[in-house]
Amino acid sequence: MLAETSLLADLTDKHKKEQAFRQLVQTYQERLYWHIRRMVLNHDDADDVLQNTFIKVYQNIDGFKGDSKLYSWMYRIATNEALTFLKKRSKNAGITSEELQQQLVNQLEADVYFEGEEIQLKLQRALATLPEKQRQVFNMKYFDEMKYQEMSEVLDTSVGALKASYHHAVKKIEAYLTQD
Amino acid sequence: MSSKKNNIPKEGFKVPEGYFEGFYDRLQEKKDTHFLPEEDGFSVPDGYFDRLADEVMDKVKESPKVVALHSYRKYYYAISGVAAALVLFFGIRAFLNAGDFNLNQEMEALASEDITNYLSDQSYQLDSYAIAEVMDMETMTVDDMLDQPTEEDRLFEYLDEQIDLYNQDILAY
Repeated sequence: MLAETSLLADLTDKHKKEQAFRQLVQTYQERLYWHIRRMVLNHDDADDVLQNTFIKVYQNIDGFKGDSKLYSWMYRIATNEALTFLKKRSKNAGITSEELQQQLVNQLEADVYFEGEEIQLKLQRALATLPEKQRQVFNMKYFDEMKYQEMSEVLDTSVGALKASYHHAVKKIEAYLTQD
Repeated sequence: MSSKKNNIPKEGFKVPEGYFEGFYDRLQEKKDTHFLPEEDGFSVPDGYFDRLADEVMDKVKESPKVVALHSYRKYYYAISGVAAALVLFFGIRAFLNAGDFNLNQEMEALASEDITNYLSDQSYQLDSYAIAEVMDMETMTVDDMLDQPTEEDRLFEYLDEQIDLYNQDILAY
């Protein structure tokens, strides 16, 4: 917390801002990248969304009020950026967001940056059948290993609702993976 | 084996706050997800994270400067007001012309519907970031941000202009 407070102070000091921002990027780049990547699935898209996320963080850091943790705030920006990206993508292609998810999963087989085996691919197919929020909750809990309290701050949803959502997601994935 | 050796001292050891309270739930979750793969299979190009900070810093330097977002709240409302006025104006025109069909009027009605749909679809993108991004900070002066008419004034001014134009159109028929 002390480190975050000190980093925030440096980010709002115009003489130290660039150096502090570089440190911020290096500290959070991997966690934010994987969060975005699991939403958009493709590396190039994840890279674009991540860079836009950091640019918005840089441009708006002066307006950060400190009501939540810096990381939660950035996570929220990353989530919104990824969702906006997906909405634009489905709108431009004239397809629903569910159809887009299926399309993105289908492209994974030819993706050089997807090294998953059959089970990982099947998991992605199962995830594509979930509602957006459930998919997010599952990824944040299972792969990002976030605590429910942290997820609650990012998604602005109660811990109880998140637990229920995660439970439903796991059950649906299990049913999908064991249906054959 | 001495009893002392089996006695694990508590002193000096700590566990995270709430560790035991949530232990059973975590165990249950682990049990419920035993069928899932531990890895997701995604990878990144070699050295991607080593280069990322430099790339982001370059982009940040290229991006336009933005000042505090709350200063633009009034512009957001003004733009929303003008958008609403546009929809209203085209909607009224289409309604008034509804009884008299010809190609031009149908095209007008279609255009107003398109505009309504467009504004409705695009509204979620009119967030403060989007507004901030289109502000031209090079040409904007402090006066532009101060003493601006309220959104109501802008709306009434715009509607007055449009009603005048509309009256002119009616007179021309």
